[in-house]
Parts: sequence; C-alpha cells; structure tokens
Amino acid sequence: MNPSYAGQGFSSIAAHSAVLPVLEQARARLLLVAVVFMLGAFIIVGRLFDVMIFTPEVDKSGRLISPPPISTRADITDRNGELLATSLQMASLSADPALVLDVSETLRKLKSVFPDLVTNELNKNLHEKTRFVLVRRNLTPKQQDAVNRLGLPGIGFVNEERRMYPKGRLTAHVIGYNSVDNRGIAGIEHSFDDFLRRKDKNLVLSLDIRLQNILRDALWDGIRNFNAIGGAGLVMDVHSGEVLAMVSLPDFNPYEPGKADEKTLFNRVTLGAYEMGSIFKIFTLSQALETGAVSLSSSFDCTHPLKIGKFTINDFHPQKRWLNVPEIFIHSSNIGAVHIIQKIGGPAQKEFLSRLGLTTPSPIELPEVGKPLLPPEWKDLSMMTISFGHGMAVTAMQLASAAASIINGGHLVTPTLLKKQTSEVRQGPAIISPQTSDAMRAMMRAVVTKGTGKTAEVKGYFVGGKTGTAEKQQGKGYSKSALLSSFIGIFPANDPRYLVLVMIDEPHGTKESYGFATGGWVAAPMVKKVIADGAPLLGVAPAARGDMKTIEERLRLPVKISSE
Amino acid sequence: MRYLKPPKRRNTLKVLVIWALLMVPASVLLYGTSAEVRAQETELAAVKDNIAREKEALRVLNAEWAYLNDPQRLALRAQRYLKLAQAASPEQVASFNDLEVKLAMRETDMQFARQDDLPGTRLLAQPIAHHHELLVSLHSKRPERLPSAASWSHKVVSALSLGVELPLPFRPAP
Repeated sequence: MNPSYAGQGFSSIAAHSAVLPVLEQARARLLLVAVVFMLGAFIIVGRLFDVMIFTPEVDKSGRLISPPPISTRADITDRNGELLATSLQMASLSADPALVLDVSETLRKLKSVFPDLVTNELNKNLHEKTRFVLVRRNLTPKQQDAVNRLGLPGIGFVNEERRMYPKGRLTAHVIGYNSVDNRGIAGIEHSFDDFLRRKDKNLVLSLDIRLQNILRDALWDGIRNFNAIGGAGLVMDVHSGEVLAMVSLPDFNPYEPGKADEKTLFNRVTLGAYEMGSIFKIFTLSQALETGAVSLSSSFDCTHPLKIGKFTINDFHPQKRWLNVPEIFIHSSNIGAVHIIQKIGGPAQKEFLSRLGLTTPSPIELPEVGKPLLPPEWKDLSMMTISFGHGMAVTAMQLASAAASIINGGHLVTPTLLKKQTSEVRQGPAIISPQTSDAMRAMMRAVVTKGTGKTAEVKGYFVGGKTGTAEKQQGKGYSKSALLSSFIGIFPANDPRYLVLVMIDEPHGTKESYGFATGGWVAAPMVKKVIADGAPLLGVAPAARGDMKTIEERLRLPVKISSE
Repeated sequence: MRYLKPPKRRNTLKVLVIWALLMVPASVLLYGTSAEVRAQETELAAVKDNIAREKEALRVLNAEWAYLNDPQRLALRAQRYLKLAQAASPEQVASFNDLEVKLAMRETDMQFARQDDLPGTRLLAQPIAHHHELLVSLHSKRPERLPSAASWSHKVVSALSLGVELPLPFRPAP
C-alpha cells in the first residue's frame, strides 16, 4: 500500500481519535450483520442441498392427476385361457350436496343421461346435510363422458372395482360370485378367495368353456323337451379327474345372485345328493366280478319279483327269465343285482363303496359340497336296495368320480376343477384290477349296442354307458311319477378318456318318447349330443372305419347276450 | 493487532471470491442436473401412469373379447354367416394318415360309402377338413395382436358394463 496514504490515514485517524470508538462499533455491527447473513445463506444452501439431493419432499412424480386405479383381484380362466371372471374399474356417479347449486336442475339434466333415474329419493338425499350421495353405480364410459359434458357442479365420480363374468350364466354355479366388497361368497370365488386376492397369477380351471356350452345346451333342450324341473351334467377326464364341464340348471345371473331363489342357486352337481338308481349297478357288478363272487357267465333267476319282508323288488324292464351277469347289467335287472349282492354281503359292499369315495363328501374344490345320505344301519334290506341305487343318496360329482375310477383301469380318481399338467397327474390307488375294468367297459358298451342306452350311440366313438331311473322319495314312499333320469356315458369304451354324466329331475314322457321318462329315453340322447359335438373339441378322433370292426370285436363279451 | 487485519482480510476476500466464482458453475450444474432429474422423473411417472392405464384398458378389452367369444354367440354367427353351419360330425373327421389312404382309395371308397350309407363319406376331401379347422379356430383362438388398447377401450366397454346380465337373447333364462 501507499505509505503516504497510510501515514495520512494514520494522522487523520489520530487527529480524529474521538471518532475511533464509533468506527469500532460500526465494524462490530457490520460483522454481526455479516455473520447473520452468512448463517442465513448457509441455512438456505443447506436446505437447497437437502431438498435437491437428500430428501426431495415434493412429489417425485410431479404428477397433477391421481394415479390410475389398479384392479385387485386375479382373473379366472378356463383351461384354454378363455376369461371367465375378471375385475374392472368402473366409475360410479356421486354428488356432494353442499356443492350442488340447483337440485331440481341437476336432476333434470342427469335424467337426460339416465332416463331411468329414480329422482324422488335422490331429491330428498341431495337436500340432506351430507357431503356424499351415491347417485348411480357402474357407469359406462359413454355415460361418464355425457355427465362430464353436463358440467354440473357438485357432481363427481368414484372408481369402484367390479367383478365381471363375461360368460354369464354359463359358468354361474362353478365360478360363484362375490359380495359387494369383492370377497368371494360362493363357488370358486369363495374357495380360492385368498389365492385370487393375492393376485400373483390367474386361476386356471379345468373347464373347457366350449364343452360347457355344449353340455348346457344339451341339458337345456332335454329339460324343455321333457318338461323337467331341473337338470345337472358334467364331463370328466377319467384319468386325471379334471372336470371339463359342469352345469346345473336352472342357473342364475351371477351379477344378481340375490334375485335368484334357493332352488336356482342350488348346485345339483356337487351339493344335491340323490338316489341314483341303476347306475349303482356298475359298482355292484364290478365288486362281484373283482371278488370272484360271480363270473360273466354266472346266471340268476330273474323270473319273479323278489319279496323281502313287506317289500317287493321288481324290474323296470322285466325279462322274466334267467339272466347272465351282462344281461342283468344291460337290461338293468334289480332282481339280478339283489341276487348278486347277496353273494357279497353288506359289510363288504359298504367297504367297497367307501373306497370309491361314495360314503364321504366329494373332495371337489367348491364350498357347495353335499354329504352323501347313508342308511343309519347297513341292514340286509339296505344292502339289497343300494345294489340297484336306492336307499343311499350321493352327489353327481361323487358318482362320476367313482364310475371313472371303475372304467379307467381301476384307479381311484380324485375330481378337481383345476387344470392339471400331464406331469402332475398321479395315478390313484388301485380299486379293481384292469381285467375287471375291461369287463365293465365291455358291459357298458353292450348297454349302448344292445340294452337300455341305445339312444346314446355316436358312430365312431364306441360310446358305453349305463342308464339310471330313480323314483324320487316323496314323503315316506317313492313316487312313480317323479323320476330322476340319468345316464352315464364313457367314450371311447375300448380306452375311455372322458365320462359324461347327465341327470334330469322330474322329466315327463312325451309323444316322441312314447310316454317314457326313463334314463334311456331322456338322458342318453343328451349324452349322445354332448359326445358328438364335444369329442372333436376334446381331440378325440373317431375310429377310422377300417379299425371299427377290430375294436368292436375287442369289446365283445365272452358270453351270449340276448337282447330280447 | 488492528493494523494487521486489513491485508489478512484482503486474502480472505480473495479466497471468498474464488470460491464464489467456483460455486457459480457448480450450482448451475447442480441446478441443471436436478432439474433434469426431476423432468425425467415426471416423465417416468407419466409413462408409468400410461402403462397402468393401458393395462387397465387391456383388461377391459380382454373382458370384451371374452364376452364376444361367447360360444352361443359364435354359434349364432356361424349359423348366420357360414354355409357349413353344423358342427362337424364324426364321419367328417379324418386324420392326415387316414386322408392319404382315403384319397388313394377314393374310387373304392365311394362304392363302399354307397354300400354302408355313411353320411358324408363322399365328401371327405378338402372342404370339410377346412371347415373343421375353421370351427376349431373359431371356438378356441384369440388373435395374436389387439389394436392399441386405450383408443378402443372407451367404445368397447359399453356392451360390457351394463351392470346387469349381458344381452344374450339366445341364452334362455330358466
């Protein structure tokens, strides 16, 4: 620095030494102010760092609108991925009465969009001292758009999740339905509620929706033709136990289960236990053949009705002669079945039926599973009536899996509604030998070629089967007019892959059926229809014509069968 | 003491000035980076929102597709618009191996057919195989590609979201 300047300065300061304390004070103040400002600056810089780098407090996304809602329940599909149940976001119209300016004007305008809007109650609600009134649920986007265009103050939307069932009634009894808050309360929706809420992946059912439709159509036609009160049917893979179709009629609208009565919501396939009639002869005969109690050539006197105490056991299609075992089966002789079961005995019969799962509820994955109805004591009379399917009631699902276990080579089948990979299929424990299973297939084939089930034949598919006609219990006795007519069909009988069971509740004979309402007249043609339409979809090719004779030959029984 | 301060202060001042000069580009850089990050985050959020919206729209379209694929509806359409409306009967189905043999023996086959009067045997050539394929594909397959979801979902929901039973006149209510 310039010394002279310094000297000058010194001298001037010295000269005005009285000013010095003032200057000191000013410096101190300046310093204080500087420190305060510095601190302020540091705080701001620190905060800037904090905001920009460490914890950005502002909404990271910087979005102006709320995030779109996401559905919270997994889908259900059939085995081919066809959607059976899904959840969609739907807008519901709501109002805030505090913001609505002119109630009558608002309602008038809303009515232009919703002509069916009931205004009386709304009018009242919109005058209440509340901030939320739900005007209408589940708007279509078109309606939402129209409401937006009205530009009404105080009118807004809330998003609500809604379960959709694109196939409607077709799957109603299987899928079930949800409560308003989207919890499953019936069917698959209920039994897999936790799985569906986890939303990890879709639930793939064993159903084939195309087959389901074919089955429902066939059942529906049958019910209408025979003026019946209801029906049930199912298609099952006899090896894996997968249920490919399952229909209970009458069915209901899954969007409005509350409007359906109890009988309609009732699942006739899994919940209803019925006396199945002659179909039970499948079990009686397979046990008799398996234990060696009879051979195919054994024959029994079926000339006269059997009198047991005060009961008389008669045949529906009386042959009034000696019948061999296959003849008893294909003519469905109750007398013959009773003769045969007497060689087996009650305890063994009960044990065999238990092994087939007929005495315990079906393990199918539905909440609606009925308990079988067994006689309180397994007396001789019960044994006899059960041999031809009376005195014991089981569900259609139990019946189908037990029959599948007999004809698939003799392995117990566990029914399931979930799709199984081929690798997941485990063979159940053996119930009967493959030889007995073969004999049963051949006899079931003979029912269709020569016996009570001729109307079920589909050329090329070697349908086998058994008819059942049970008189329904009414009060203390059985009714002659209220029948449960059923047919269980298998195809192809030489190497069964699928089983079709159809049951019609209280059919009435028609001119075309010559007044008959039996299983052979009512249910067998429906099974035929299901097989004819369904087999190509299931990938079962009809036998090449060249092979037909050999297959038929292999299914021939070693005993003479008189179809008279 | 007092007189030593000025030069020292000048030094501090210099250092401060240098720091300040350094801080200007640093803060510009920092601000720029931060602004860019925020812009990208906004974009990301917008994209995520769009994805969610598209997904929801896809769900709607899938539901609509399932509804349109109602077997009853398809059967009705097939009856109305296809000449071969009946489901293929077992006699009309043949395997490839079968077909080869059958074409080779066509002449004898026809005689055979007249003898045992098997409906459809004479027609075992191409059209029926084609028809069967067509039926199967109608029943089971979905197209590989759907149109862009969002633009369609609006229109498409109308049929679905009636909130009551779907209007299928051909499915009788008991």
